[in-house]
Amino acid sequence: MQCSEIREMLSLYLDDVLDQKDRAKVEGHLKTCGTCRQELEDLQETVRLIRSLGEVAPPENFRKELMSKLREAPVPVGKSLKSRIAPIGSWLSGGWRSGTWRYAAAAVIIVGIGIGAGIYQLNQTNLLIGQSSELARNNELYNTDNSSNKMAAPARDEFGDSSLTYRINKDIPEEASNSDKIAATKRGVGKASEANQAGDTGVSDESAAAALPEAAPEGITVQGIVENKVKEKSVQKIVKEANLGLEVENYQNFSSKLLAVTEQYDGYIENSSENLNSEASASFIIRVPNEQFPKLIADLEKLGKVTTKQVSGKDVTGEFVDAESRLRNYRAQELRLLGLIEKAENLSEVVTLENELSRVRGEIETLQGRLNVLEDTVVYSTIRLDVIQASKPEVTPPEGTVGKAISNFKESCIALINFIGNIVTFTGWILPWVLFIGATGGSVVYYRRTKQKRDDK
Amino acid sequence: MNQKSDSVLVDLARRGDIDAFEQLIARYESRVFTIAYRYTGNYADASDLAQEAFIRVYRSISSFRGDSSLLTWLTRVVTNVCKDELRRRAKQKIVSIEEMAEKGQVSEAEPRQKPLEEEVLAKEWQEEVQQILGSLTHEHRVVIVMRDVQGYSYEEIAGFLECSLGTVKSRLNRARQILKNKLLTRNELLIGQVGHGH
Repeated sequence: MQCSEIREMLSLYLDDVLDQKDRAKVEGHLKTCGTCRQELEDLQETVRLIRSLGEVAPPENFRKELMSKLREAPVPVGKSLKSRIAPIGSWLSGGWRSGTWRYAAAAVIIVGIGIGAGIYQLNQTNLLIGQSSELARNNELYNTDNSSNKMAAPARDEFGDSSLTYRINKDIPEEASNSDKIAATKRGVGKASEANQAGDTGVSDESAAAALPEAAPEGITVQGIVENKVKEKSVQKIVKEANLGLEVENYQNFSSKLLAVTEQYDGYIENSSENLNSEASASFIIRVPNEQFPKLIADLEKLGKVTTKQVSGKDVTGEFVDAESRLRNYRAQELRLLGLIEKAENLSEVVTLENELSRVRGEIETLQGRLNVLEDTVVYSTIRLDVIQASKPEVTPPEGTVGKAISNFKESCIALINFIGNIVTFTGWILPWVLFIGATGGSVVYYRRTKQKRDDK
Repeated sequence: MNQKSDSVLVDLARRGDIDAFEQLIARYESRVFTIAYRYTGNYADASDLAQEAFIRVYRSISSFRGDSSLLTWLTRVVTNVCKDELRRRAKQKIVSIEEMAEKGQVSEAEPRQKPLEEEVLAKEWQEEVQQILGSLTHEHRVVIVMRDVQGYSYEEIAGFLECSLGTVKSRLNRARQILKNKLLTRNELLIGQVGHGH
């Protein structure tokens, strides 16, 4: 059990909201780990301190002010407050009337534009005899719903040249075969040192004590590797990492969704930094259980426009096995040293052995730490997420309709100009026919008239 | 007069008796104000927000059914008002409370040679804690105040913040860790100064 994992739960332990299994885990760990016990005490102290904060008396004129606000206008909000709590104030009081007008005006404009667009489209389809493909594309864009149009059009344009990178490290099998080779070479060494060791055991205890630190670890390490080689094939340890860049429409919306999605896959946000200026941006380090990794990435991609993506996997099986077996080695060595210390005959021997023992124990701790880190990175994959809010200003609710109407108006103007252009080109196209038909008709009429005149005569 | 129960006063207020509501204000203003103060860290903002909470409650008092106590309702309202305000500020990034608090902390941390009698110390320490609380990000501060000042359950906090239980758990854990570290460093600093002072 790792301290970091326990610390994640201490706050919950404090509030007694852990389930029984986790609570047992924490309690078990606390019995053995002084650091975490201290951590818990400090946390308890913190919470106690916050809880002990007393009441603060409101300023003297608090009630007077409040009562005058209440008396003055029971329904609308008082003045000073309105400026401070602007959104609520404007929505509830003055905003209503002008708002109605705004919406009414917007509705009129939209209906007008709708009719205009209808007529435009009717004309377009009538006119579209042998027209250029450019016009057809225009029409298609116009056909799509306006709001989605705005988003879809730039997205489609930028997608082509955005630096969309998708790279999965293909070197997983390569590395595995590498470690195979290493293991193979070590196996050779292993046999040699095993023989070495067999020779060593013949020597007296005293000299073995001196030789042991050098010879023993290698011999047992290699054995460990050979043993673990079998296991390795069944359990591959792969560290997965992803770098993801997203562009989102609305950061505030995004961040709440991000939390929900992360939670959904049992992940957590290890680190985050947010910059909430007009162009909000943020970066997160998200840890998620390995098996949920692809799912979370897929869901994250849905939250915005992917600008960069890079997924990589690194096989740390070799490193893992290596650390594990070295650890086992040192443990064995520790035991042997303890045995030797008991048998030691003079003080200097004891001192040497003790020194050796503390060195070995140091190694054990380092290795254990390394293993913990490895285990953690293997169980939890890492996603580095960079988010920026699309620089396009967000459409605010009250102005949104009007803004939309304005942009619609602009588009309609363009459409009108196109329409006029089309009439002109159509006129150009139809003119020869008009002239031809006119000429033919004219000559027929002329012929008939002259004929009639002759007949009359 | 003061012995009238909440429900009687609420009934009166519902029928337009504003004086009855004033009695209710007198009864709960400290609690409501304290909550607002813990969230905002300054008197002016806390006043405005606490008043806003009372005004909201007054406006919709006719809809109060008495399923829960008035105090519960009031604290819920003031919590929502404060939470929304903090979120709005974080979004707008007007001079952030965090920054202000941090600046205040730095300038105040250097010259501190006041007499450290226990009472003063206790009061100062409270202010100190409040200041450190104010130096947290608004998200962290909100969960701490909800949980450790107001004593809401994890589920209730999730309801307020419209987020998942897991989010509340991890955020509260994170917030407490940060708070703890800040308090520890502050505490050591203080103890160090006490030692020098004597």
